[in-house]
Amino acid sequence: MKSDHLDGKGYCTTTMSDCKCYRDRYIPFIRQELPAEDSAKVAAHLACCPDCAEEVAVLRAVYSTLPELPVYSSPDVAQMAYAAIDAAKPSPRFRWLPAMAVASLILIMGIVYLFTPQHTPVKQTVATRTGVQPTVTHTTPVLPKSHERTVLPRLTSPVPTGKHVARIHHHKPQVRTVRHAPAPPVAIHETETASLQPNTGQVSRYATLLAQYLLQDHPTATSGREVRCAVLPMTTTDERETASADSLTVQLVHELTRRLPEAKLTRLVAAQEPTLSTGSITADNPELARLAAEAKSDYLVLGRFAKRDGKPLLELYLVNTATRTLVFDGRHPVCISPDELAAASDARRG
Amino acid sequence: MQTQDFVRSAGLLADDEEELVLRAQQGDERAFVRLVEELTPRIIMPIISRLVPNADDARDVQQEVYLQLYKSLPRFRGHSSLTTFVYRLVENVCKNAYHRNRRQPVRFTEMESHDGERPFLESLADASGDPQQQLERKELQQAIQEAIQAIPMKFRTVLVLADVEGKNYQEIAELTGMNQGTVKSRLNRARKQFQQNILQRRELFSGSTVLTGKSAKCKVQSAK
Repeated sequence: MKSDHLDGKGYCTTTMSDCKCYRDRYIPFIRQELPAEDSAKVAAHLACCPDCAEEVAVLRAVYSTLPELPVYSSPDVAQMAYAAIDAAKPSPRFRWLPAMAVASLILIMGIVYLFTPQHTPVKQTVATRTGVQPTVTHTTPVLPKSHERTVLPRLTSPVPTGKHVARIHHHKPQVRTVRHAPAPPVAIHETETASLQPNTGQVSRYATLLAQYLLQDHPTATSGREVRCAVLPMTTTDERETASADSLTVQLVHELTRRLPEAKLTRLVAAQEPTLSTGSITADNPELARLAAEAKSDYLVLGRFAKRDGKPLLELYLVNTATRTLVFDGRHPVCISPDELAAASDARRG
Repeated sequence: MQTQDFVRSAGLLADDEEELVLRAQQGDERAFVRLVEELTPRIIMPIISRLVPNADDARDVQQEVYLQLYKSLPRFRGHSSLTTFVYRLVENVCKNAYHRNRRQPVRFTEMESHDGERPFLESLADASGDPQQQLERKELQQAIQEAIQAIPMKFRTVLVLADVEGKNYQEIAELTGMNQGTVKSRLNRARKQFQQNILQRRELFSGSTVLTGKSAKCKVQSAK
């Protein structure tokens, strides 16, 4: 075979670098994808290069085998297809899950609704000196009759100690299990000062107390007669607490409205800034008298942020503007038992 | 229905396939199974057999392909041919399996004969012809399979489509969503890699009687 790659003596004139050049064309050459001119050059090279010829022979054999390459068998196609369909569907074990989730949500919402404060009886737990801890529950705002022994929450020192702790639980409907038979409630007459922190929980607690004392002072408030009650903005000497004071005032109005549905509550903004932030608030305080006159209400509720022993304290006062008396003294709330209050009211009326 | 009308008007499916697709899209499970039975030998298994190196993995991939096909078939709107739709789905599943298993050593298991029923060696025993030649052909196929599997996935798919399935550039571009230039360049690189892999196994082929071409004895002059 005569070729350009052969010299006069019949030896191949191609070099190793030529082999590298041609190597990329072997597969297109086998598959007849090369132009005729390129294909002739490759053929000429192969004619005199045994290594490349063998390489092409191997590739030719490989390419002739490619279409015959075996494929994986899959005799159970239908079975696998049905398995895929089943896998795509939600598992029967969890089909109840959405319904269960909805039911759980409804149940939780129901529990929360039932046990919110407006639907929950207020439970008072009174500690006695006998060591027995009876549990007494009653619903606000209805007060016990005057001839019954009344248990008011005992407001203890800033740090509640030992058995002399009185608490009002607004959010715990369940009655605590006691080991012993509940002893009759004991009235507490200690004049320990209140530890009412200026926060929403304490405002709620205070609102219960205020409502009780107001109803005790003014029983006709439950008879449909309108009772006007003005709530003054809480005052504070610390400007950083102003926002908190305003917020708690709004909450107090809201809480009192819930507890005194018959009363007409107004949130009063005094024309002149009250100067009740400091000093003692007593019935004969001239500032208090001025505010009572301005309020044009049956009752006046005022509060202030105070500090006692360096700890923040919320003091709330309930003033009967007609009689100019402190129905509820925020400094010493437990000093006034309802019995005493009733007696005092009777005495005033008498 | 709008989708059905579009698919029909586009003429992208054979009549029976079109009917099967529409019924499967409407939730007909038997139609889906029949469609899968149609597609498996024609599209699904040939691709899986080239892209997945061992039978166990291939079976897992096959199952995954059916699952993905069942889930995605309702989204088939006939904008491309069903073959393209299925091919891309199979390729994606194979790629995911490849990336999942790439750190595991490659295992090769005995493949089965093209008739799909008998193991390959068993089919060899029954085949006519020289048993020695049959065995060599089996070894050759095994070596080819290994050479293909050693190519990176993105080049391997193009090589399989072009050189095994016999698709042209345009068909490959349509199937894979690449442009023809990308197809050409990837095919060149894939072939170079494949050729290299084959030549690394040259000893398997050099003594094979399967090879018909005998290299001419010609003197090679050194470049020196």
